Amino acid sequence: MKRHLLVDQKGYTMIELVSAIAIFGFLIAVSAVGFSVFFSKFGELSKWAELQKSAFECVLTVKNGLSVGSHQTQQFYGVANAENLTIDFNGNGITCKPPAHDAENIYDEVRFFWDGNYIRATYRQGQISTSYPVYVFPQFKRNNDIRVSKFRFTKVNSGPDTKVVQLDFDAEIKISQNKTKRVSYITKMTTIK
Amino acid sequence: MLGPLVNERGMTLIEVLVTSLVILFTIVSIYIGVVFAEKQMLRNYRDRVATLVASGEMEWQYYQNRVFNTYDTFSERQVVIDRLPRGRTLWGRMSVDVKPKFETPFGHYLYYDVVQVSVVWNEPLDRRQRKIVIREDFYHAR
Repeated sequence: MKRHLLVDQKGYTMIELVSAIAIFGFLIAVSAVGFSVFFSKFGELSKWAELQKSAFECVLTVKNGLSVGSHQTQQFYGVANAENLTIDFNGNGITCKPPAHDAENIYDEVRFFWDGNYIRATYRQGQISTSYPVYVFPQFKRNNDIRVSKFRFTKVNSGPDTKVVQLDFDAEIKISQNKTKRVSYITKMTTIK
Repeated sequence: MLGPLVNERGMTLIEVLVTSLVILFTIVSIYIGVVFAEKQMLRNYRDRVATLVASGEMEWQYYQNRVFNTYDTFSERQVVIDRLPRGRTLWGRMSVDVKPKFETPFGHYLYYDVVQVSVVWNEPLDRRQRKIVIREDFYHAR
């Protein structure tokens, strides 16, 4: 049988080989392009989704409060539960002072601000205060792909005290070599209970 | 052992075409999925923008009610939903509507105002109108 096999030495013609290689090459190329488009798009969309989620959570944190204190004294300091609000002179930050329940808490406050790159916060609760500003945005990996272009508070109500503020928050993320995606959120928040 | 090598039939044109079609179908499906996901994300983003605008307006109405005992109602005020390519803007229209109502639990009259903030815009993705509505009931002090 072995001899019989070796006797047939017909092989493939050049046309057959070229055709087969061309067909499989085409199939592999089409598959490769399809999958590479899928994975690159998937990566881009994931980044944009993360940006949207993180930016939205940042707005909610400013409004509803940053978690401060230890396990037993945990509270949320933010605009909604503040007694006094003070907007930074350039509008890029806000200090929220919660109502003081005793003498130990009269200096409690949280300050949200834009440091030129990211949104950060410092706080003080009783004897506890931040040794360095914590990151509020972005919560995921910080790198040069993310840029905050606006984080501005403006007073909305009339009168001497700031009771309602508007937050304008713009951020963008580089999702590929020459493509960026952005989010732009505008909302108002009040301290009135 | 050499059995499989004996068959040198190869593949027919039909087999190659069917394989190609299966691969093509898979890739087209993936592409459609990606395009759909991108559109859905954009739609969700605009919904979220409109929700934040509407909830912010509700905060303002709450302030007006608590401090001045009034409401700042309006209709069809323009708000920005999204910045589109080539410098265009997707505008929405926001309205605030207040309806006084009452209910009678346990025989007592409880008066309240139904405050409704709505944001409407024409979604360019499917050319349909989208609407976000937020409603809160502000009960009167007894």
